[in-house]
Amino acid sequence: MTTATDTSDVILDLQDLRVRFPVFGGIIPRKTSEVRAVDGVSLTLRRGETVGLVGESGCGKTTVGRAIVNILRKMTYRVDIEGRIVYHHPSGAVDLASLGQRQMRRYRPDLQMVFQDPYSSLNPRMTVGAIVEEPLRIHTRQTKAERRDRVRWLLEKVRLSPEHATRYPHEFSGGQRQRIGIARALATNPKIVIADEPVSALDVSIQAQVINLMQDLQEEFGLSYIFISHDLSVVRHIANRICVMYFGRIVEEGPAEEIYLRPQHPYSKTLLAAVPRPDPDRRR
Amino acid sequence: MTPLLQIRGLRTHFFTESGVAKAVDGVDLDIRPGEVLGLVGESGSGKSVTALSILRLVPDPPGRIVDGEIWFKGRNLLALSWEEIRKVRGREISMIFQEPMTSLNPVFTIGNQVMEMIVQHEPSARGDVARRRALQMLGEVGIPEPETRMKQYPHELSGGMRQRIMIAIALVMNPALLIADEPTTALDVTIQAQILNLMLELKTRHEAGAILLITHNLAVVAETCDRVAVMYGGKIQEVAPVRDLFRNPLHPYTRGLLASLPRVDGPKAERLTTIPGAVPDIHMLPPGCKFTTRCPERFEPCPGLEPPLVEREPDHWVRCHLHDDCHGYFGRHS
Amino acid sequence: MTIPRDQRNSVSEIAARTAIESHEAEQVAAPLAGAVAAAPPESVFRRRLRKFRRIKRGYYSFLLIATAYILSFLLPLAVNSTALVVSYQGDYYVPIWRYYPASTFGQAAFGEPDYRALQAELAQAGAGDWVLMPPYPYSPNESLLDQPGYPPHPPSRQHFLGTDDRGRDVLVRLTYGFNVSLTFALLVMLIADGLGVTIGSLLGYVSGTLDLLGQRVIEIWSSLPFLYTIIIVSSIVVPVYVPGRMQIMQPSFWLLVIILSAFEWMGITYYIRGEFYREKAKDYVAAAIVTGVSEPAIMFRHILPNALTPVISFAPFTIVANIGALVALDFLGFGLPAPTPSWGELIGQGMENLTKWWLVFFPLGALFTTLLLVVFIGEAVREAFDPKEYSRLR
Repeated sequence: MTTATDTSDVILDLQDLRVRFPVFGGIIPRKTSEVRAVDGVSLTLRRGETVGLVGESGCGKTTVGRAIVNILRKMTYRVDIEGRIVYHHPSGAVDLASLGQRQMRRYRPDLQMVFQDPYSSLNPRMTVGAIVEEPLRIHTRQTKAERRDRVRWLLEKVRLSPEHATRYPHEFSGGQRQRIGIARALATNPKIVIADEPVSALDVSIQAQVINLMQDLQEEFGLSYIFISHDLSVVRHIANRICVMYFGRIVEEGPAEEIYLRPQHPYSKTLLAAVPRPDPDRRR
Repeated sequence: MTPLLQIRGLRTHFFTESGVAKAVDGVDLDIRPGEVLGLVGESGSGKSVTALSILRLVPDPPGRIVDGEIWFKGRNLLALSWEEIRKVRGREISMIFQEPMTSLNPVFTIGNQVMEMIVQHEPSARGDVARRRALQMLGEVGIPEPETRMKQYPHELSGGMRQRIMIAIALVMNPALLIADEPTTALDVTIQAQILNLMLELKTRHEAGAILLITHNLAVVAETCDRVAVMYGGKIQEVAPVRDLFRNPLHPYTRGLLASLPRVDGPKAERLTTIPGAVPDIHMLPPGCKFTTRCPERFEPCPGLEPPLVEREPDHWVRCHLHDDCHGYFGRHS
Repeated sequence: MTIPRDQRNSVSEIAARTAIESHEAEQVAAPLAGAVAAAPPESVFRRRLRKFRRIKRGYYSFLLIATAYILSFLLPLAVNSTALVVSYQGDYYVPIWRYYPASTFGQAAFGEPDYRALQAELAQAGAGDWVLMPPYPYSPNESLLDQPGYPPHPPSRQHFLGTDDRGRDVLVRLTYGFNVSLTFALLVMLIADGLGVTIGSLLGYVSGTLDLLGQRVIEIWSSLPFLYTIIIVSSIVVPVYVPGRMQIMQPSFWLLVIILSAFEWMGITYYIRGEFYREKAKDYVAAAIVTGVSEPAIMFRHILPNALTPVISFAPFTIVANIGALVALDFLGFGLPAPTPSWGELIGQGMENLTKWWLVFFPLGALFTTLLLVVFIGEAVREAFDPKEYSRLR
């Protein structure tokens, strides 16, 4: 079924990605050692597909996500990135890992991100309207009125009221804030959305709402998702393919149901076995 | 069977600028000897405040236990003096918190903190006696090389190890009740499984000890608890033995929660079922049933009239007009 | 549970914090969920302002100080020995606005006329000429040597708070000194904070080598002894008093403002630098980078407004410190040059004339009241910025 023969619908291709964070020490601070956060990760993302990136804390899954949107160099001091992140743009393939911030700007609208923490990922001093509008101000030449209409439309898309545009993030609940984050990510018509634990901080009854919303939006806009999560049960409901990460490497990759029914790698087995199941007959 | 702990009509309110927040508003709950009782709810349901109220740890101000009784071994915990409640804490009722990073004091060694607990309650157990008991306890919670760990500081240990230390401190005095407030939420799945197993194992070893497990994760409840209480809007909505609750949930909220759970077992659902809306602002809960605003099955009496907690099946209590005698059971279904 | 003795506090604190946090989470959860959306949107700043205004003691102190300070710029109209209007031989003169030599009014003297004497003179002459004096017709630098006895004179009906050892009215000097002190404190704060915020933002945002070097420079700079520097500078640049100019336009005043600012910016720099480090690790900054927001915009539009909290919450206490610093310098004689009306100088006089109670009591009282009111403001600001819902002040 999903064989790699047809490469035309591949939109993102990571080739042997390695990310190392330096560790500084000594009296005169200098690099004394390094942490291999990502240690040779290769994966492909097809158009309209969702790849689930699963692993426990510290396995490097978030770093992979941040490497793709090319913000590691900006956020971390002297990070070392090797390998290729090939993005298949209509005008030709480009290696995002080799781009500086200036060159990257051209591709920013296509690659957006949804963050884990609905509290810190929205600037508390900006109104919801300003937050969603910002990407439009930067990447489009729309007039003020056009932008305003688009913001209202986006808010409706994520099932918020357009009237909420004048409000501030602290006036919303976690689930609503996460939807604001999704609206911001969608503003520029992205092709790829990296979702980094988008529902982990939400209440159980809200998680399902956000997952369903993300699925609807994927269908409507033909988005490709990389869905990063530590929660195997959540990933199962949204991902087509799953990559299990362990200590900076992908230890197992396959169609979602395959991983759940027949995990191959011992770590995948352990991980799956540890997930609690809402079934009182399967007692500890 | 006499309950180990009886909570009757507990009301803990927070007096704030934006009004009175009724975080816990009339909770009745029994914890039976030897059982693991799960207290489930989403953020803002009042589950943590209930737990803090048992040991009178609610920060005052702004919080205050305005009403209720908590009976434990023939004494009302809410009527004890501060000196008396202090003796109950740790010795008879222990508590572990969600965040193993901040629950340990970073400037003292592990050994110091475990031994301090012993010395605090048994001043006679100084020096070697306390040391030996601390060592033994660390061994019991599965800390490798307890001798070395005794001399280490909290930051030298991983999150899972720290939570083990917290459990060791909590259990070293052999308390009759352990309150665990989201003990595994901050941990990875594999570590979570280990910690839950450890808690259950220790409970069987120290027989008659009961555990109150507070969590938002129904799957954890299913795997570990004997009975479950579901909280919403500061009230208990449903209490039942774990199998009854999962097989036959009566309250629409419980049903919604169960249906919206993403699962790793069983066939994959095309779409997750959701509970519409969001957890309501605690300052403006509806006067009637707290779940009214989101309930798919609400009818006339729901918004205005608070349903009573009734025993619909043996040991299965629910607070819902669908199941109460005047409106649901006889009114609607007959 | 009981926790080891030394730890007991910390764990109950944790419990308290957990509860407060969860309560806060509850508090903010979904205010918009229902049909509640009627209340107008409220920015973080507005919310804090609302909270501040609710703390009555601090709010009224703020109103009082702010009003008094604004009014103190009108002091020349109310407390001055120069007449407001003179009607002399059919012509109107406005001495408060323009300078007239004494000869204009037929006074045999050089320089400025003595308007109080003129007033008495014209009234006696009864030719229909008159002089309109300010309600309290004395100047801060005017030695009133026509009083009976030797200065300092005790409080009297003409001089409510008495005069100092050079026969200058204490009330006049205190009111003018209030304007000088507060202007000084505000200017120093403005310059020091401006410098500190700029440098702190740069160090915190750019980080890396710049931060490392910047910090070392700050460390070296902050190890310079402040008092010695002041003494050395004031012995090289001899502060002069330019007569006839407003106090806050004196070059010596500005010299002092600049010297003090140069020693004060380091404190806030560390705070802002720290805030920047904390804020830039937050996800909204990552989101801004992913969006492609330019660096200056990230720094100034996204991070800076979130990093300014310490500046605002420290502001009242900075003012207190600056007023105190000026008083101390004046007291030691390294501050504003004589005869600038200054509280420190008056307090110094009080110490030299301990038996003259009005010289001890009134300047200290004024200083105490002002500082107390500003501290009340500071307390309220701090409280308004506290995310906790409960407050002992409300």
